Amino acid sequence: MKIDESMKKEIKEEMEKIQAPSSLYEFAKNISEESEKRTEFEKPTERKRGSRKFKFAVAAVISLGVLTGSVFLNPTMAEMASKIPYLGQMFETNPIHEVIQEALEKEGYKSAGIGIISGEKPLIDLRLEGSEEYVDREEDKVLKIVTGILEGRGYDNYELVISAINQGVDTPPTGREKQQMVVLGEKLEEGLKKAGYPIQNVDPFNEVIIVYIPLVDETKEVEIQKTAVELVKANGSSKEVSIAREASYEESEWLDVMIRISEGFSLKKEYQIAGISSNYKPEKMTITITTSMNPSDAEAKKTVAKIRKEITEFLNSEEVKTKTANQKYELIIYDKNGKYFPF
Amino acid sequence: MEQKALMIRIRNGDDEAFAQLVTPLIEKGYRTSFSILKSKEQAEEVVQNSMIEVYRNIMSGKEIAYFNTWFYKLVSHRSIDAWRKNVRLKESALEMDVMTDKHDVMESVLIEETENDIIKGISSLDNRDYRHVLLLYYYQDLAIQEISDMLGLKSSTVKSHLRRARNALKKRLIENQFIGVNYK
Repeated sequence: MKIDESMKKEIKEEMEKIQAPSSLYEFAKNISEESEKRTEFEKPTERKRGSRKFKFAVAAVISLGVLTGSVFLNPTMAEMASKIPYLGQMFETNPIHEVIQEALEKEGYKSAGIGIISGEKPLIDLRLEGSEEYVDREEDKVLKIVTGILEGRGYDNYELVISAINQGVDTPPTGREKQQMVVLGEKLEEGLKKAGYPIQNVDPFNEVIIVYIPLVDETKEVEIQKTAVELVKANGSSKEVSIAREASYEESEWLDVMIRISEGFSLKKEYQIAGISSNYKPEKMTITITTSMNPSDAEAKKTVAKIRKEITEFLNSEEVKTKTANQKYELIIYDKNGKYFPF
Repeated sequence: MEQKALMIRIRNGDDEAFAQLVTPLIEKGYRTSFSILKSKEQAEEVVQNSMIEVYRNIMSGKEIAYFNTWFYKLVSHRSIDAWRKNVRLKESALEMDVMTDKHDVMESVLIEETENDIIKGISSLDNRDYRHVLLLYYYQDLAIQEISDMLGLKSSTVKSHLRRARNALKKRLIENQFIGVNYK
């Protein structure tokens, strides 16, 4: 508990630098008058959980598939892989998060999820099911397994955080509540479809109802949201509604490709990547890579050329072309300041 | 007991009693609000509004058992509300660009059993939430469940933030220790 005390002390010291203005004390002395003055003041409504919009996050969800063993860990395949260009190898094996998940399961760990958050040093956020004490105890072993896998792939650019997820913490809805959610979801979907909107799915099981729609223009999205909110209200619920765009088949195929590109580049220091993003439009896919280099950096020219070559080769490979139906793409590589490289 | 007596005086129209009741709490309340909002004006407004809310609650005869805790919780709540409002305003302007156009691929590599967990997973790594968790836990002494309710995060996420912070501090302390050892 020493660490908690140190933390408390540090935060307290930090806070003591903040001085409350004397006007607040005056305000307290005149409270009845101040309260009178602010007749317009109303108690703010309680914030609902999860009211932020997570449009993209939902669209980019990748469901957890059943894994059938890592090809990469097989020496013969690894040898074969060494003859294929770097990014080309990515399809010879499962994505890194799947490999980690599988390895942990093999060792008897229950992983509740792995998140990889981009940045100059991507953060690998690994969550294990179990109590904090359990995770504390197992942390070193898990670290060893995961680091081994990452090193095996030659990845040297990441931060790894392991935390506990206690699945039993949140109270699950009762049978009746669940039934009400189902009914509300069905009514909402039916109502929206009747209104002529292309609804793909409705998820009523959270604090915020999520309505999945295909790619539509912005005005329509706003319209759908508005109608959905009205329908929810009409059905006697005060839940909020969030609209999420469901990826089309083509887009999810691209997403799969992008995951490989992202993994391959971001987790290796040599490429000096700050972020990789993509924008899918039916007519063209745009891939934007932001590096952490200045054009004047010694290695910049060579590194940019290497990135460009690797990606182009990868995107032009038969495997990727089949996946993306040979769709047009544009590749943009930016320097540290978001500007084009002069080469 | 003292506070109960003050509340009776307040109900009888004694403003001075209200000042006596809240004065010892203003400093800490303001500090909390300021650290969340990072704005003197907004923090001041939040504390003022909280005082009015407190006053009106007392006047309406509400029984408040643990006044100090209740007051701090109220200020924290209202500060978080105000902060969310700021974020929402900013987000609505940026959202189209950031959220729908520029898909950050690494962020998309998130797997969890339920989609909702994924969504919260992303938000859980938000540094602002992280900062607030530390503040509410270590400075306001709120319980994990209370923080999770206030911030709309899963309690596991709150715990994970605390863990991250502890680990970071632990690392720093160890590093400092090394320096200490070298000096010997």
